[in-house]
Amino acid sequence: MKRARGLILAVAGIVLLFPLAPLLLWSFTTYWRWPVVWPNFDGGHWLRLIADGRILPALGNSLLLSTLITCFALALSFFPAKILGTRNFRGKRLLELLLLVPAFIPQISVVFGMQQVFMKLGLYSNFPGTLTANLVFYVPYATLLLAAVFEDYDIALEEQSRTLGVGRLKTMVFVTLPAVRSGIIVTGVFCFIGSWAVYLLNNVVASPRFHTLPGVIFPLVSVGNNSYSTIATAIIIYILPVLFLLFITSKALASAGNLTKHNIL
Amino acid sequence: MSAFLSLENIYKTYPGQDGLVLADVNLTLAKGEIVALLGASGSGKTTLLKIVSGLESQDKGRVVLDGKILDGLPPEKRSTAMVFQKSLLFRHLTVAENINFAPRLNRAFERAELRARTSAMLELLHLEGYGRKRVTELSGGQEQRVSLGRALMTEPSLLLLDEPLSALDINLKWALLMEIRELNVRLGQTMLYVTHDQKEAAAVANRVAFLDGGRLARVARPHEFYSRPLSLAEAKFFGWENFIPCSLENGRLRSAMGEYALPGLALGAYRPGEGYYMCIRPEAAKNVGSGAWSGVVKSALPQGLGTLCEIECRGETLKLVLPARFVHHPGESVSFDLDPELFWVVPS
Repeated sequence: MKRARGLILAVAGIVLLFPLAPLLLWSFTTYWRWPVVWPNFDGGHWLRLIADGRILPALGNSLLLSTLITCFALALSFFPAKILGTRNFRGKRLLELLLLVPAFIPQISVVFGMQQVFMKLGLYSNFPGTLTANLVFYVPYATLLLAAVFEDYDIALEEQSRTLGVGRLKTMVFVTLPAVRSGIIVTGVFCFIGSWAVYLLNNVVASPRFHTLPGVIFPLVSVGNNSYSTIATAIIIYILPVLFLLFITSKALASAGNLTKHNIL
Repeated sequence: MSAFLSLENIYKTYPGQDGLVLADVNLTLAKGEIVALLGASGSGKTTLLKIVSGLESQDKGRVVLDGKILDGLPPEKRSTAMVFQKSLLFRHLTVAENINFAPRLNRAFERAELRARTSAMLELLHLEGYGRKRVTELSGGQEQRVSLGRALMTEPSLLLLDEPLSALDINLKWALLMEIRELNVRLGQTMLYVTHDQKEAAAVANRVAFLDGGRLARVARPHEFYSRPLSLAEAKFFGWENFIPCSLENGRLRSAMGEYALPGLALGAYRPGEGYYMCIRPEAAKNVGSGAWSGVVKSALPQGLGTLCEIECRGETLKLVLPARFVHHPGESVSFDLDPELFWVVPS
């Protein structure tokens, strides 16, 4: 059983990571096309992209933006999700459907309207505006994910803690949060990855003064004057933070049974 | 008896639910006493326990513990601790961390003293050597012991137990009941113990408070419920069977089965002309095979040492436990006597 599990993990690892190997190789070559078998290794593309002056600030913006989106989305969705997941009340199904609306409606149908509103509010093309625009989509998303987590949570644990003389705040910190820790991490990972890849919304609301990594890399990839090596380097820079995040949260992801059970993931 | 806990005129309703969940409940507990709240499902016993703990609030009435009115206080300020039916252990903590959970978070003791008290509690609960184990490694009985220890570590004025042993198998249940009694004696811990099992209540409690449909029907010593029930509901709950309508005439009970003078019954409490039920315990049958009563067995259900038989007798169907050494088949005749000590009469 243990051997079979190891084998499955090894195969899954190869299937998932194999496409990255040529990208990694390409990112360190100057020219590697047929009939060249053995490429010339060179770190020039990395240096050029770093020196370009757009990639690193955009990477920093994206890291900060996705981290804050994740934190705000988790913080703002925690208590609504707990109520949604642990209580029954009239209109609960309707509320769940409303929370699904941002996921169902194509972004393009709302982003231009948002742009107009954000211009009036002074939130256009700046960091707070971009953060707010993303939260419009990620707070409902995180609420739905966390609500599924709370459906498996036994609220009696809190009652138990309080009848032992432990106050509300300590109960939340030392009972509730550890009990739903895996679900919170998984929800956070999905919010981070989702917001990391946002292009259209950020392009409309954040540009031209504020740039995220997809906003810099996608034009770079699509414009024909770049070599495979430059594109490969840009893509590696783009996916490395996500891979790192997946690596450090892999244990929590593996125990995300409660989310998969509710067909959320 | 001075009241340590006093429940005064407690009323409770739930929104959207017809009728009162609790109606005019009055109950007192002395310090160091164990009182069992006994009743069928839906009788309001858990609701009453939650009102005492602060997890629910009453519509009317008040709760006084050790001279302090608890109404409006949150659960954590009440100096009570509760053990639930499920052990509700914190899965991310070890056994020792569960046991010292509340005093550790509330910084009730110095670190060394906390460690010493945790060890002492583990020893008291026969869990030496389990302190560093994950709670997921424990058996059901051990889990419930840890839950009990976690509550006792808070040194509560009042320990509330909500059917804490109902999920355990019978042998474990009796062993833990003995331990709870022992803890009560050793620590002098006052306990309010909710159960729907009359045998459990009788085993653990000094007194039993019987809740019937949200009303406190009676508070008495356990054996009084068994031998002297005051109502049909009480009689049924405490294992009486065979409820035969009867009346009192000339100092004798008259029923369709005949007239009886019951020497063990103080008939002065009953009024002539009113309707009563004569109750006969299933264990009342004696002198099987040679008694003055006779009947025909309708059904027989073996129960180990005895066989629960339905016997057609004098126009009534009696449920009686006959010794298993006699083999009883449906359709067979059987003779027996009935022990008048196991007769009782309740108002209809």
